[in-house]
Amino acid sequence: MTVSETLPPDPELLGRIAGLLQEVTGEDGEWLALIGPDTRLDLDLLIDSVELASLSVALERIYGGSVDLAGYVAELEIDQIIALSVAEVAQYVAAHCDSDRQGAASGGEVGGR
Amino acid sequence: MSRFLFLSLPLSGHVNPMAAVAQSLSRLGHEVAWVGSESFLRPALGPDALVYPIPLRVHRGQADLGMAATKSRWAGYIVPHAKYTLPGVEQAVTEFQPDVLVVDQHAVAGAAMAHKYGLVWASVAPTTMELNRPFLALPKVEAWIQEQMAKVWTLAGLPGLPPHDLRFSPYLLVAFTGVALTGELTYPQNAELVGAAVTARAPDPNFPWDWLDPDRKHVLITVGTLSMDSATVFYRRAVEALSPLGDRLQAVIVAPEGVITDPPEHVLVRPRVPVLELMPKLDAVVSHGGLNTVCEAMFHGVPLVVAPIKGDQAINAAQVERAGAGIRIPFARIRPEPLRKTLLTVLDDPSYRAAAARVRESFREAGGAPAAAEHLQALALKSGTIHDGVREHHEITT
Repeated sequence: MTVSETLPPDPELLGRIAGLLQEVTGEDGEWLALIGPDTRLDLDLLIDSVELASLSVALERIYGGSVDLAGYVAELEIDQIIALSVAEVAQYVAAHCDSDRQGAASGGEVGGR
Repeated sequence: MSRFLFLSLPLSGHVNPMAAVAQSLSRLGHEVAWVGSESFLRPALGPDALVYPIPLRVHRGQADLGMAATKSRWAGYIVPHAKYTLPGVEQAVTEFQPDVLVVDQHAVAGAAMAHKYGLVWASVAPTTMELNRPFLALPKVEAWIQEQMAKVWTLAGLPGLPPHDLRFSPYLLVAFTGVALTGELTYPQNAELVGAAVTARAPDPNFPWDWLDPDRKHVLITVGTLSMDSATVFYRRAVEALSPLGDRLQAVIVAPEGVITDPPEHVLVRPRVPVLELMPKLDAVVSHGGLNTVCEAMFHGVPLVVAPIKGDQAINAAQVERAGAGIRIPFARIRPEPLRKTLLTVLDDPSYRAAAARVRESFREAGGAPAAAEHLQALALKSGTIHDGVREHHEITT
């Protein structure tokens, strides 16, 4: 859990990740509005393994090849998976994205589907 | 004639298909006994079944969702259930002297006792949770599950660690699903997919059969025996989704008393429903995706709307959708309008019913409970040889 302790979450990046979660789940704006940094993917959003894989692919597409959320989750203990929050995903992405794609992290266009 | 001892969890979706297999074994002339809660098993097994009783005990856990549900299922349910039942299972094994132990994959006390007494045993999969080993991609979760099984092994008085995974008999695994849903199975190699194991249950004379209007379509809505707030929300949304459809359908909702107040004329709410009797009259089932309900619907060629809550239900939902026999929706997040739209799609587009009929045919070919009984019978016939092997192996290794 070193990632979540080293960097504070960037609100813009949090918003992008929430948007991607909305994309992979096909949810509405009402649902999106409920997502905050402490929202947990497993327990609160009920993101399943298929949706997590889609999120992982989308993050890699946007932020670069060394962003591998699925690989990160694969190494977690069961309690860490249960506790995985949107903020932790954001911190992981911030720590692993390609430097030339920082723009994507702070304001660039998120690819559509 | 051989002797089979059955051990399941006190869950209807697990006991129902196993009871069908036990009945088929009895018809083949074998002797069958069960170990478990008399009060839970008796209604499902009938007055003549031999039951070595273990009082029913309610275990914590099972209330969570997602990975948290996996954790509470093991730590709050499977392990406590195994710990509590070990002495009773041991007593039943020594008294009944079975040739084969037939063990629910999650009733791991049975697997441990089979090892302790050198018995041949078969695993039964009433869920798809373990097929194809979905947690292999999460090695630390898998390791944690192995730790839980090792606890049961130690509690059974066995030394060291289990020689192999207690969820998987090295001899045989019978699963109540079919390749039409699962696709080619990658694990385990000794799995026999027999489709739905269905047996006639006692008819329900109290169900208001006259209420069903032959000129309208019929939908069953059942999301299992839950006491979660989210189930109440789901029922409320389901009623809202159904409310403008009274001209074309009638719906039966399985829900506890008091959850749905004042349903419209075309919605019948009952705490218990004779699902198997009702199934031939249905045009669609809305379900949480428990394997038992999914397979009973498929067995009757009825298409599904699946709203998975936890455990293997998401896997089952994905399989039904891939087979074209239904549509998956989110359980906690679905709103009345998309629910109505999805239900109407499944009812109006004939491709769903056609796909469900294809699954039904493949289930019929898989053979159901009689096929499962034949696999178990063949295992019992081999058990003498296996016993010698087990003993030899034991002598060599000790």
